[in-house]
Amino acid sequence: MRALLNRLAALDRRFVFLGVLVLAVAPFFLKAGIRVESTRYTDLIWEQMEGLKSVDDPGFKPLLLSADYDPGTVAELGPMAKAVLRHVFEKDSGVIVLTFLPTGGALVQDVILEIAKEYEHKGVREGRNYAYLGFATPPGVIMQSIGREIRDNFQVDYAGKPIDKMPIFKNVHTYKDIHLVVDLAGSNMPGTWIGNAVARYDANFAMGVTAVMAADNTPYIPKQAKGMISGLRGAAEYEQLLQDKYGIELEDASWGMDSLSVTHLFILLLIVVGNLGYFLGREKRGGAR
Amino acid sequence: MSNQAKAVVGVVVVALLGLTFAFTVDFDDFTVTFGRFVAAWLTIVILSFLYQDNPFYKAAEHVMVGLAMGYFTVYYVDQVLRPRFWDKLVGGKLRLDEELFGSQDVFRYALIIPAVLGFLMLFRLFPKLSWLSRWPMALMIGISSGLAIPVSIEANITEQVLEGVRTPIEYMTALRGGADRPWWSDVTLWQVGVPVLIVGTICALMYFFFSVPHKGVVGRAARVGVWVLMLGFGASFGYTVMARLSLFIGRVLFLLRDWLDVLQT
Repeated sequence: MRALLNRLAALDRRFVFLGVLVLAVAPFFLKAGIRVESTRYTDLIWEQMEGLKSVDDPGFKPLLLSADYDPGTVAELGPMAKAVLRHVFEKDSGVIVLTFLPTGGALVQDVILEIAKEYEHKGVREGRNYAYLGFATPPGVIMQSIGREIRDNFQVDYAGKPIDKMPIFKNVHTYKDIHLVVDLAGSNMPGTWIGNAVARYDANFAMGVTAVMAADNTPYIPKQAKGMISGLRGAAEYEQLLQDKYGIELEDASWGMDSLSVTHLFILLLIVVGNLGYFLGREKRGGAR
Repeated sequence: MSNQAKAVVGVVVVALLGLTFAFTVDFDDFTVTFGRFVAAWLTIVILSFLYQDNPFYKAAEHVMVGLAMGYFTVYYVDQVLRPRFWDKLVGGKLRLDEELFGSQDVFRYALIIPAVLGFLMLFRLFPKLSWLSRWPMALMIGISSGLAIPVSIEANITEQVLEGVRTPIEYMTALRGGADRPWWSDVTLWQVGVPVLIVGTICALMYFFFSVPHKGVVGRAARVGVWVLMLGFGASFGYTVMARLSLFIGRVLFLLRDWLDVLQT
C-alpha cells in the first residue's frame, strides 16, 4: 500500500491532466444522461421567474437581465442566459438586457438574437418582448440612476432606436416597474447590484453566478437576493426545470453534467489518495506536523 | 529538446494544422468556420501549457491580451466616448434636461473638464509629469468611494448583521423546501440548522476578536470558529474546482461539437 502511495506521490502531474481530459471527453460519447435535480437556490429564482406575466397582461412587468459575462465565463453563464431568455419567451413575457462588460457585449447580443429567433414563430419580437440596451458604465451610477428613472441613462437601445417607441418600456421607469432584476456574473457584480439597487431602491433581485462566486454570494439569500443559479450545475438544474414544465430540450449545461460528475469523482479520489499519502508519510517521519 | 525533436514537432503541428483546416473550414461559410478553426487552435495551444511552457503558448497568450485590450478600447470609444462626449460636444446631441445654469451650451462646453481630466491620466506614462495624473485619480477614487461606501456598508454589513440576528429561522425556512418537503426537514430546521447558524457565526467572529486572549471558553469558541471558517473555505474550494472544470468542459464541448462536429447532441 505504502509503496503504491509513494509511486502515486511521484507521479508526473501531467498524468493527472491526462486523466481529467479523458474523463471529461468520454461521457460525451457514452451519454449516461444523469438526471439533475434542482436545489433550493435554483427553485427560488425559478419561482420568481414563474411570476412573469405576458406582455399583453395589464399587470405586465419586464425582467431586467444584466448579462455580465465575457469569453472567460461564458461556459458557465452562457447556458444560464439562454435558459432565462427561453423561460421569458415561453411565458410570452418581456426582458430588457444590458451588460456592464465591454468584452461581453457581442456575446450577449448573439444569445438574445439566437433565442429570439427560436421563438419568432410564437410572435416574440424586438421592442415587444425584448430590448438590448448594450454596454453601460459605470455600473454603480447606472444602477442608481435606474432607481430614479431608467431614461436618465438610456434613451436609445444599443442600435440607437428610441426606447420610448418600444412597447416593452411603456410603463417602465424605475425598479418598481420591473418584475425581477437578474444578474449573470462571474465577478462581484451581484454585490454591486445589491448595494445600489436592492439596499437603496428595494429592487427585486436574483442572480446567476459562476461556481467560484457562489460561496461568496450565498449570504445574500434569501432576503437580499431571491435565488441563485450557481455554476454549470445550477444552469443544468434550470434547463431540467424548463424541460419538465415546458418540454424544452436540454442544452449545453446538461450535456456537460456527466463530464462534470465524473471529473469531480476523479478529483475527490485524488484528494483522498493525496491525504492518505500525506498522513502515512507523516507517520513515517515520526508524526511531525 | 534537441533540434531534431523540435523539427519533428514542427512538422507534426503544421500537418495537423493543414489537416484540420482542410476538414473543418468551409469556404461557403468561411468567416464562421475559419473563426472556429482559429479559436480551436488557440484553445489547444493555451492548453499545451499543461504539458510544458512553450513559445506557441506564449504567442497565444499575447494574442489574447492584445486582442482583449484592442476590443476593450474600441468598445469604450464607440459606446462611451462617442455618444457621451463627442456627439454631445461636437454634434450637439443633447437631451432637453441636459443643461447647466439654465443653458445647454454651458453643459456642452463643461464636458471639456472631464475630458481634460481623463487626458491627464495619460501623463502616468511620463515620469517627470506623472504627478498630473494624481488629480483625476484622486477625484475618481473620491467619487467612487463616496458612491460605494454607504451602499456597501448597508448591503454587506448592516443588512447582513440584521439578517444574522433576525432571520436565521426565515433563512432556514426558505431553504427547507416547499409543500413537498421531507418530514425530517423540520427537525433539521429547529434542532440542527438554526443552532449551527447561530453558534457558527458567533464562533467565527470570536476567532477575529483579539481583545481577550484565546484561552478557556474564548479559546475553545475560536477553535470552533476556525473549523467553521475551514468549512467555508472548503465550500469555496469545491466551487472553484467545479468552476474550472466547467470552463474546461465548455472548451471540450466547443472542440468536439462546434469545431470537429463529432458529437451528436
